[in-house]
Amino acid sequence: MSVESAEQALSEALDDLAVAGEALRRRTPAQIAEALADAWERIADPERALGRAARGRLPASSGLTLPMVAWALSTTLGGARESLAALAREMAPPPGVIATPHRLGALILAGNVFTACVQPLSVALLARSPLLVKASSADDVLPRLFVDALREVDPELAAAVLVVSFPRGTEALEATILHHAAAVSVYGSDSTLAAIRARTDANTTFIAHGHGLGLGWVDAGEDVEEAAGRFALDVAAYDQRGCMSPHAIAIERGGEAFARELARALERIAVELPRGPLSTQVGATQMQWRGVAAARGVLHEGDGWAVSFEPVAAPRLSPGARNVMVFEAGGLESFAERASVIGPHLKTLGVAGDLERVARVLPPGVSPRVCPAGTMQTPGLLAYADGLPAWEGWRRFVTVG
Amino acid sequence: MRDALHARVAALIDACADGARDDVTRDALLADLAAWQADRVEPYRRLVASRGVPPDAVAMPTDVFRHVRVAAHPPSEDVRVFRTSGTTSGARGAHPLRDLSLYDRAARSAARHALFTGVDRMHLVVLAPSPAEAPDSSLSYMLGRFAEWFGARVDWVFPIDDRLARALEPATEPVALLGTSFAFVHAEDRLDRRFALPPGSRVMQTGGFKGRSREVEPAALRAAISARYGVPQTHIVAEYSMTELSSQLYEATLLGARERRLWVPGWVRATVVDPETLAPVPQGQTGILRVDDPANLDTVSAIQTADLAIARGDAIELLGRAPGAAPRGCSLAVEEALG
Repeated sequence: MSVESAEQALSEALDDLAVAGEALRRRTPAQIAEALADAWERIADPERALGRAARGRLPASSGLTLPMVAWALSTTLGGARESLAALAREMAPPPGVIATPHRLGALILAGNVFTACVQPLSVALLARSPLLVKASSADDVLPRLFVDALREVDPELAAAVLVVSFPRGTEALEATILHHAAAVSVYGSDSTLAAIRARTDANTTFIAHGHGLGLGWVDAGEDVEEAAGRFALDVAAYDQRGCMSPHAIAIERGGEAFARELARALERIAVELPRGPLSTQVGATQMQWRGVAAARGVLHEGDGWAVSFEPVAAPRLSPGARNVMVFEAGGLESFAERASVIGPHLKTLGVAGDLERVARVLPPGVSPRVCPAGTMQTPGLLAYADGLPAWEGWRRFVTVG
Repeated sequence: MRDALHARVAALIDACADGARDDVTRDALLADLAAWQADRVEPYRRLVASRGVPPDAVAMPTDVFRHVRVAAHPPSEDVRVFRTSGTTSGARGAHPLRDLSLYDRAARSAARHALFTGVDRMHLVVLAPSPAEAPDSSLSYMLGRFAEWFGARVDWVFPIDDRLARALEPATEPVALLGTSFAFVHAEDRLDRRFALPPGSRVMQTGGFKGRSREVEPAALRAAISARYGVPQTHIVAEYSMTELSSQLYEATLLGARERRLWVPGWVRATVVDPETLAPVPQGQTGILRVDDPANLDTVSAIQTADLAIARGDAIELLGRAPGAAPRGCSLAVEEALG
């Protein structure tokens, strides 16, 4: 198919999608939440056909092992019914105003964490916006399975979601999407966001989810064995490729002992949740990262993981793939100062200790989700994203009077 | 001990001039160098201890040079410190040298064999800063030495401006045009005329783009250079070097090679390894390039690069550098902030 005819076909599909949004508008948010929950549960359940399909296809598309995929599905979709109902309530308009949906929304996914689509997809539909989902062809499995599941539950609603994939740089097709959409939610690198934003109409709602990373903090006096066990899960989850994954964990003191415990915990967790295969590219950067760690600090490494303890007060970016640095930050205030350098890129701060105390020392411009260690990668559907409610930008209101 | 090692390295480089090889002598020397360096270079000692294998099995990742000093001698004995450009990440890598004699010997021997093949001296046009302008650039240093060793006349043209046309315009004798890839791209963007350099002229291009110009695919850049300067593609030679090394690898097209692969001087050992196990991968399989360079006497001879490569016989097919350390979802800006 030529680019012109693909553009024409996409344009017509987007028009149809906008019309299909009528089905969303006829339903209450509570009804939509029920339908979404039914759909997600079909995928969460390993006994059902779609659940089996997810477990069959996601390891290859995501590069994660089957146990890791199963863990990700169960932690993301488990309890979805209650979360979606709560989300629908949270998104309800305040008294005296009427919610009005976007004529058409677009969700452009990055592809680093396959479950990253669950929250924005759910939020957009709860806001009653028909939705175009653009996913990379290597990572469109879950959104497509979701549409299949929704079709089983409520075909009319399923017609209000369209998943497309096409190669990066197909600008004509991207332009078609940007031309039709009234709201665009984009996940990706800062440069990707900037490029798409530049091509987006001034009146289109632009919801940006750019680059990010996670850090960890361990209060003095915490049980290091327990803290290490919880942080090991944060590091192992999604093989540390998410923007919530901890790159480094700071501790007030006793870093060397904590690093040892973390290494033991990663060794244990690798049995249940083994790491996926390593690409040559990531392997090359991992080799460099580990080399620096061994040359200036202490490196613990095992099958598919590594922990460094480095005698510096600043974190170092990890290549992912379960390579994490431990350092002694020299106090919470000093750590917060380091975090301020990262600014809005700090998406998640896992804490073993007093969450409130840590959250309060963060400087202006830094608005991560501060959460208990062990939950960095399981934010839940109601979690804020980039310091804002996940539904920010998806709701519009008509005011009366 | 150092003096003895120095003499052995110098002798090996001399013995391998004109493309000769002596792998047995080279490997024995590399093993001795690794043992000596593991005793004296603290970060290397730590790395070797961490790996738990003999020193010559352990290569120093290039990133280490960005974070700690890698040298067998104190800073007071540095005669030169070459630094990486540092444009793609915060900290700059540093390669401290206690003496430049082995660097010079290796650079001269390799260039004589693979770049200035069949010529004594010629007109050099250099698209790079001079050593005086960039004293911490190993490339500028090397090009400065080339000017002394191989130059009949030398024109330094950097930044690229009208001087380039003036340097090339009157050429009646073969010219060697030497520069970085991004300098050639700048020249492409600036020049509106073509040249017909005399037969025997040659081009050496080195390095990547590092955000300093638009990026151009190697084959496209070669074609553009060939068309711009009237030099056949066989006479366009890519040079592979890095700040952390003292020896250089060249494409062997001037020596008659038909494939664009890197010729490895006889005193250097180039191995393609698995990035996770660091064990050599079979011929024809992609891995990352490890270079054991005995001319790195006072730092670490065994250097582990992040460059993707394939071993093809004695030569190396270079595939390019692995992407930066930031995983998907994280930004270079963050890395720069962290330092």
